Amino acid sequence: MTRMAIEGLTLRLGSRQFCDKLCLDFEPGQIWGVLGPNGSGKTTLLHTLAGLHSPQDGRVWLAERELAQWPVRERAQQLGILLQSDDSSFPAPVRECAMLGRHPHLEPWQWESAEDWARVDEALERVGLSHIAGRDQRLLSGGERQRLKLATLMVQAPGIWLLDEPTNHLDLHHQVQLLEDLTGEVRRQNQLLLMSLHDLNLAARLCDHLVLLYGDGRVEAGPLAELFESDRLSRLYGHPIRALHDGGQCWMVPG
Amino acid sequence: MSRINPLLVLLLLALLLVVSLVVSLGVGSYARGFADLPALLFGSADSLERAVMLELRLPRALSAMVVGAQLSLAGVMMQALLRNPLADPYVLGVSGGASVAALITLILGFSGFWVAAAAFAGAMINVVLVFGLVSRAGDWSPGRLLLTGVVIASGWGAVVSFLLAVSEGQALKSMLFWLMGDFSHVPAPGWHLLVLLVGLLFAWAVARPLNLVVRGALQAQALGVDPRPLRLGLFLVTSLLTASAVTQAGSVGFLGLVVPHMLRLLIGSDHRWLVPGAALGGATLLLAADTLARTVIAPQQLPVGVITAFLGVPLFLWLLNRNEAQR
Repeated sequence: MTRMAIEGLTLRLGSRQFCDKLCLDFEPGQIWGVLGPNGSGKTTLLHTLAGLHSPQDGRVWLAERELAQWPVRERAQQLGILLQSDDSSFPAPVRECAMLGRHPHLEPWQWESAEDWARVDEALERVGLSHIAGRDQRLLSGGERQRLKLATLMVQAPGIWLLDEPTNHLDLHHQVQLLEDLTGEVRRQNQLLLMSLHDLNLAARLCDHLVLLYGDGRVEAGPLAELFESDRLSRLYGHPIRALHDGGQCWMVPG
Repeated sequence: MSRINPLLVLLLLALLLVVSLVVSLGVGSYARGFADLPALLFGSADSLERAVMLELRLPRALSAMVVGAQLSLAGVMMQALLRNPLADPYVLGVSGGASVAALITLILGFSGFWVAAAAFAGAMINVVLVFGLVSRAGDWSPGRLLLTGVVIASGWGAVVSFLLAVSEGQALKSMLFWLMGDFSHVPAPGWHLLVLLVGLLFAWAVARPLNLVVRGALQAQALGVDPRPLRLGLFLVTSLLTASAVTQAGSVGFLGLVVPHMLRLLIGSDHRWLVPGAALGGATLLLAADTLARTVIAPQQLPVGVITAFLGVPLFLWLLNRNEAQR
């Protein structure tokens, strides 16, 4: 299964420095949570890993090849990203929107097969949109739109999943159910997933590794068990956070 | 969104195009009727009627079809390039540049070929200008492109108004006709047909990537489409199509904006259907409009742009409401 690594990565946007000569290995089977305050570079990091942003310095490796060396279409077969914004003012049925995820797997003149449509229907079923598969995408609510983006990513079926704030607009039920379903599947298939999150307890529930972006160039990364402490998280967000223990579980609540 | 089978719509449009062509050839102030059409078109008898048919009516009908297809195709691609449903082929100033050059030649007393040549040159000057400004900034985002094009188009618009204000008499009337789009002096399409074929081939080859580009550059890139060369290609091919259309018939309005939307309402937003559909629909609509333009108040002729709007507005509103009702 594919692995990813970053080597000497420096990310800057305007005058803000997000990380400096950062080196990290992402192994198959791992679920990473990317945490940090607003504007700390979570999106920039994920975009860099997806090849949508060129870093100031350093390299990103996808398998044995540098990310920049991959042809875009082959890269999209390996690696998929859930973007924060994806909107279109043109009408299109939900089912056709989800089918866009199949694009990298089709030859230039090839049309979608019945098997591709079956994948689309399965993905829509998984995110609970089957009943509105024919609806115009412009009429969807924010949460439904987010689930459609997730379904499109499932149709793309990458080996490496990058999710930029996947819980946006999702209700409690869908946050837990969809992301548990997805992370479970990623672990079973020995794939790799990285997602930026704002909900600390959801991160603890789903992830096994964390990247903490402080927003001033400091970065900490490692197994969840080593980093998930109230003092550290309080420093990360610049806000007091208390740990509440309940049996074996630990809950972080803002103080 | 319940829709009609796209293939069926394309076949119907093709049929409608053939019917429009037959009607267009059969009506007019001279050589009327359909019974003699085959003999006039394919026979060998030398007659005035045959000359009218082959040298005036047929070339004009063919030109209307080519221009209609070009403008609708350019509209589809421009809306995808700018990710904006309100974009039309003229939004980046191609017709503005062409108009200024064409009006100047009209003021100078030229006509026919020279006006067309000047219009094409003007359109190309605009393309180079917009292209130069956008590439110098290195930012091919829809916003930047749109703003640059719109500002330059307004500049051309001001020059056009100035030229109209200082002109009078016969020149003014031919200028107004040119601005609204007019087929009364067109020769057969010739190389413009080649431009249409190139445009059609390009648009169809990039049809599936277009479906992604309307979702934004990042999304397209994430799904395996490099948006930069595609956008550049869209810009150049759209400009060429529009320049060619404007060269033949002046700036026929409305078509390039509305035909893409009509087809979206009929067959959906998949560009693999939309591209051939818009070409067929545009050709049919403009041919029908031109037939009306030269017959409604014959022997007087109307500018075809007036008719496209008269036909297009109610047709479009009906389609829009039909879809609202189906939701």
